[in-house]
Amino acid sequence: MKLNKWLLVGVAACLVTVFALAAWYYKKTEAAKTDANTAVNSEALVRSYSPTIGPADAPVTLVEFMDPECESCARLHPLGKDAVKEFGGKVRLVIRYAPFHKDAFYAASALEAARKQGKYFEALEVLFARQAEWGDHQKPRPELILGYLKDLGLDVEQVKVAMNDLEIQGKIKQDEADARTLNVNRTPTFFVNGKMQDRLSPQDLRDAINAALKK
Amino acid sequence: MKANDDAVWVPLFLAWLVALVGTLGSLFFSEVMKFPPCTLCWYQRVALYPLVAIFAVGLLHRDRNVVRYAWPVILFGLGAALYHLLLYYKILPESVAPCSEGVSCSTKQIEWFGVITIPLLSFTGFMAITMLLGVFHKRISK
Repeated sequence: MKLNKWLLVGVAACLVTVFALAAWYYKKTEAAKTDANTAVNSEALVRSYSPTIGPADAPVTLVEFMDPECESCARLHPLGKDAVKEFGGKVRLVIRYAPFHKDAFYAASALEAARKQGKYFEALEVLFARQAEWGDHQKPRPELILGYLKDLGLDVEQVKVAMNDLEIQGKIKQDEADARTLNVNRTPTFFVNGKMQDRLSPQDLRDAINAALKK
Repeated sequence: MKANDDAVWVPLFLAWLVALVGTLGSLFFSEVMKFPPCTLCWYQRVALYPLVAIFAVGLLHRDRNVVRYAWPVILFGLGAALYHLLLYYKILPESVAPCSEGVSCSTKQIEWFGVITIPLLSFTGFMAITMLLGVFHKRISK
């Protein structure tokens, strides 16, 4: 055998092929493990206290684990809401917290406090829209959040009290524990009827929902 | 052995193979298995990845000077790998490690057969490359 460029190209091509096959196999087995884990821990997927959009008896339940401080969550948040609109009545969106960032727990408490005053989704929109201000990773300013809520017309004093409410904190902690149980280690993570989604684009999600509806 | 004899170049070819397998392997850990690489892992990657290209070009052009270009890079990678290994096996204390944030350099991510770990793989790879290049250098200098 001659040590020429064809040998190098051939060896490299073989190794890259092995890499691709191994990657494919690894992803397949991991996805199967994740599905099995979700099935065993199905009670951790949806809790009765979580904020939802869409009818309770919808055939497809879309669970979104998100972190109010994560940029991708802000960008991808419309995915779930758009799916609820698009599939009119067939999809229910359940919002769960995976508060992995530094001020995420604080932000989630503020959201839950806003929920007590009936402005949960409005508050969520504002937090995502102004995330660059309050959730800047170099210079976070979580104190700005209360100002946003005030602008929404909420009673800030009540918000402050509610944020320290053990019930609210307990819910967020339960969400965080559930996220770990379900191997949610990236945010956002979407589940379509218990199946963790690998790809996050409107079309991928649409395909997953259609597949779930056909079952 | 003459310099144009293929046998002289076999060690360089093998070193290229080690570098390529190491590159693909580390990419498998980070991109497929989603292990976040720690700071020291990055230093070793910075050294390992270009070696694939340096060795390939040297091999194709039968450039005996390839050792000169490669050794500073290898030395850097070997140093980082050795440091990482000492840290990982707690021979050096973690407090002196340059990785206070993100992934700790002594987090155990794999432990195959109870002994094979990522820092060990990296160190073994750099050692193999060093030795192969040593053999190549000896053959080419004759």
